[in-house]
Amino acid sequence: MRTRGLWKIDLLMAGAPDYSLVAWFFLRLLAAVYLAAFWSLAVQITALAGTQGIYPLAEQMRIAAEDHGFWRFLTYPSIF
Amino acid sequence: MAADDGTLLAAAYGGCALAVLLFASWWERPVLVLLYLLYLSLFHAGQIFTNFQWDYLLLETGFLAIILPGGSRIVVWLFRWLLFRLRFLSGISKLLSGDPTCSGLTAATTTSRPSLCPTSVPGTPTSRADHRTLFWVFFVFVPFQYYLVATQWYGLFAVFIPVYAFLFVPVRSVLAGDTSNFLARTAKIQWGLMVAVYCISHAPALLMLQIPGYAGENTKLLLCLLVVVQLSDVLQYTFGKTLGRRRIAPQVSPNKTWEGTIGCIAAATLVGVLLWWVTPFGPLSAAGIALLINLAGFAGGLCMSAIKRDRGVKDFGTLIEGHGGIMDRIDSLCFAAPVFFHLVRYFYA
Repeated sequence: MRTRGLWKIDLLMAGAPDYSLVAWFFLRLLAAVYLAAFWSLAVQITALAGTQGIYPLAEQMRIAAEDHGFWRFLTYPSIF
Repeated sequence: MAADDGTLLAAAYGGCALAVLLFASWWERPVLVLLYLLYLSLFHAGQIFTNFQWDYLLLETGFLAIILPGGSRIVVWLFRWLLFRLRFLSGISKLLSGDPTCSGLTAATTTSRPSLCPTSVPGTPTSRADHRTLFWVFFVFVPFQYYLVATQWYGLFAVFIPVYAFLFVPVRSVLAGDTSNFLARTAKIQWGLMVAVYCISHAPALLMLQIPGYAGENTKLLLCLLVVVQLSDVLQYTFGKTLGRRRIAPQVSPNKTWEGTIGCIAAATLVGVLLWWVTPFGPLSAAGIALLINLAGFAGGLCMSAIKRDRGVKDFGTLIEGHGGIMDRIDSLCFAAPVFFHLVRYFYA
């Protein structure tokens, strides 16, 4: 069953034969957890890994590239 | 990508925005992939500062969640496996932590000891026979009392615990066949039921009162009760000790003085008066009601302190540092809620 839209009351009413109702609910709760996680990083990350931070990200990247070259993406997967 | 502050902040706040999108069920699968990649990147950027159990848990959960929408039972089993490893390894790490209460498997008893539960208080007459009574208390009486609140069944709400539950408790215990310390054991369960279930249930019961001209606004009454009683409690905690010298009950609460207590109750009553406009009361009645619930709250605090003295514990729990557990926070509310409820019901409903 496809789930779209925020309030799937019809799913509750119909009774879910599979896991779609729980899966839908799980993803909404996961979204709340993600929000809390990213929010707490947003207020801390510049102090941790910013240019003036404790361990600047640019430095981490340089060391990772020196150690692993192109394959740094395997040991240090990151979009940065 | 660049590794400057702007990129890091964009990744973090972008994650927040994507989480909101996921909550609203928009483009679920692509959003889940992006969330996973962003969190993985920030997880690496944070180094040892993001190297905690919850980071790994969120990464693995987030990865599995990508295949969850419309997924098969395999992903459900992968989540179960994740949950099993989390609980199992948490148990192992507790056992290996070196804490004697963990390695001796007595942590649960130690944690629940300073509670009202008769089987867990040291030096309390207990019996295995009480376990069956307590089963009824926790799994039948508590839910039923709140069912009565939810269905606004006032008649039974008022008598269910003080009459029927109170009669049932000794009957169930005696049927279990143990008569040693019978009165003390029974009274303890009844006292717990009275304070922690019956009295407290009068706070949500405020919502079922039907006050003419105040329909749909009963939550404000509940809020007023909580504000006035908790304020009085906090004031007494902070200023009650520094003011005055004449002690009220040196045996029970050596720090409570007449001057401090009267000052704090007066201040909390004044706040109750200032809140009169959100209630159905006039300013003068608000003063009288606020004073009465503050006095009841004070009496509740004293009685609960006496229980703690009797059981030899300082606090009922460790919910808030320096403030004890949940029972220490709501002890005055236990006594104030029924008084407030019946005052409002008698004069306004």
